[in-house]
Amino acid sequence: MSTAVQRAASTTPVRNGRPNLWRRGNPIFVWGKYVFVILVALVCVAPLYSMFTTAFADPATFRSTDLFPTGFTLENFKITWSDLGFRTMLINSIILSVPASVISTVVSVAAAFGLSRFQFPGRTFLVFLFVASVAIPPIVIMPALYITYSQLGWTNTWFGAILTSTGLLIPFSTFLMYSYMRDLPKEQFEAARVEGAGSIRQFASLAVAMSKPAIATTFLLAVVFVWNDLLVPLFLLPSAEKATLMTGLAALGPSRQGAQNVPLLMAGVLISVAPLIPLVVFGRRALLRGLVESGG
Amino acid sequence: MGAYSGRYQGLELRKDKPQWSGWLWVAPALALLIFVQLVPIAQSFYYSFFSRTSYSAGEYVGLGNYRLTMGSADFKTAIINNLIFSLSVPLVILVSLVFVAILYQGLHLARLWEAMVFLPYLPAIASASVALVYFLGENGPLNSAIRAVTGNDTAGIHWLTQVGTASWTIMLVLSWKRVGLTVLLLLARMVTLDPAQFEAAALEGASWPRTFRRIALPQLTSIIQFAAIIGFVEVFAYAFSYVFMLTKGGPQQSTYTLEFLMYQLEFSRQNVGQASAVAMLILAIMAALGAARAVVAKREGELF
Repeated sequence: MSTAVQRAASTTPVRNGRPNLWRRGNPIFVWGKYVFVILVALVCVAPLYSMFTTAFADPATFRSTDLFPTGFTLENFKITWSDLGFRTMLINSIILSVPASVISTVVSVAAAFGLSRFQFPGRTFLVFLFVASVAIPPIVIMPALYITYSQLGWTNTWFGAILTSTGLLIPFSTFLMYSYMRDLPKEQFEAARVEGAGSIRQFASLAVAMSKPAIATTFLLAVVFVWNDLLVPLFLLPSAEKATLMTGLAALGPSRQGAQNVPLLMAGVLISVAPLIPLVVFGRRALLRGLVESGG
Repeated sequence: MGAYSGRYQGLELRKDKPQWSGWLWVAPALALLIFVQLVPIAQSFYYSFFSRTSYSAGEYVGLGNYRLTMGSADFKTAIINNLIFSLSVPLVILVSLVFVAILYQGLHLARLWEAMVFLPYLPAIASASVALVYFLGENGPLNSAIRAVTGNDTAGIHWLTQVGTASWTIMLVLSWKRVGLTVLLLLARMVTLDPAQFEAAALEGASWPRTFRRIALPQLTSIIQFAAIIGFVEVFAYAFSYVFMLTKGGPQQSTYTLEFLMYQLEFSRQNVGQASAVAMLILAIMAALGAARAVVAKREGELF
């Protein structure tokens, strides 16, 4: 990354009577930094490595004390997929996360356009409202929402759950899109207006076209948020046939860990994680850019 | 501008008029926010003064729910646990900064270490927790490893099953989950910094740790602040999922947080009134954190 810096540091003579500690030759720093980095990296990976190998372990010979389980079988995934209901849960997770992410992204992009491209009374207050709402813990709204939904007959319905997930996403998505659109060049919008483009044309052919990376980030984060969300399905989709991967894991998880079940359970964990891995790995750059731009 | 100046003058005039159509663009998002979040909060505020249950509207009890909550042992435990979990914020930032300082200087397999640290960020809290409950179990792989290393068959730590230990384990799990994202954000900012300033410091004879602290660190403050904010938000707004998945509040209710207390009141005891009071207390804490953030931002002149 910065070999130039390193070279400069290692050839620099000692000045001001202060020795350059961070250079070849001082064993504390040469080994210390490896020990630190490798230790942190191992702590981060160990539980996941154990989960991964256990998911492929043969339940018949598996013992929970195994550090490195032996045997390799794909049978666990078959059983987990069909008998433990992970197929249904995966479908349910998709039913919940895709519509909520699409709707919240569309609505937030429109709101960010309104907040960044129009001057109207109450605008500053609205920006404040959206930013402040980012910090509302979702669990806080659940008791009251549950009572309202019971009266409306929306509990345990996809409509109620999707509506709630969408509403929970709005503040952060709007904030993210707003902080991006705010910095778009004004001149192009002025020029378009001069050419007679209405606000819908400006929105579609300018704002959206110029904000594609930010929209991708917003959508990606929305999918990850809903996919990983435990609260909404826990409160609003209580029936077993509407369980998502998260509530399914919660129901199966900590309580039923007999040694026989562990490999099946870990296979389930892997199924719940797998769909997001390509999304996050390939979208990491877009994700990072969105976060760095909005955060700093 | 020249030929267009006339048109631009027209635009300037139009700009002064309020553009009410802006409200139309914001309306759908605002409606969703109000219906899903703001109305329930207002309702909860109202409910918090009533002895409401899931089945009956109850009667007016004034501040009774608040008094009852703040006097309870569970509330004290919850506050202490939220404070313990908050320690994950400085811990994560400190570890990430050292990690980034080392990686930036160039290290063998830097990409690999970076990827390994990012890994815990990928799985959902629920997924990671199921893996961790097994990994940290009484006879799980970690304790087996400890036994193998020490040669003592009764060694090992009751990570999630002992009062006192469990809260600290959850704090470490929170840190474990977040350190990768923080490293990534810090590295992303580091590579945009001008390397010439570090070379200059090195030529002056400053060691790298010193250079990092004096020159790089001040330029990372906005990212550190951002990391602190998402850390605190996670501790106060999302720690519920960790507690729910890892310990269900146990052992002996020692890992209760404010949110978990609220969940217990709501679900196990159907006590909507008191659950709403706890909800208001959580919101008050978030508002205080937000105000502190606004004060810092204002002092630096970067609000909005």
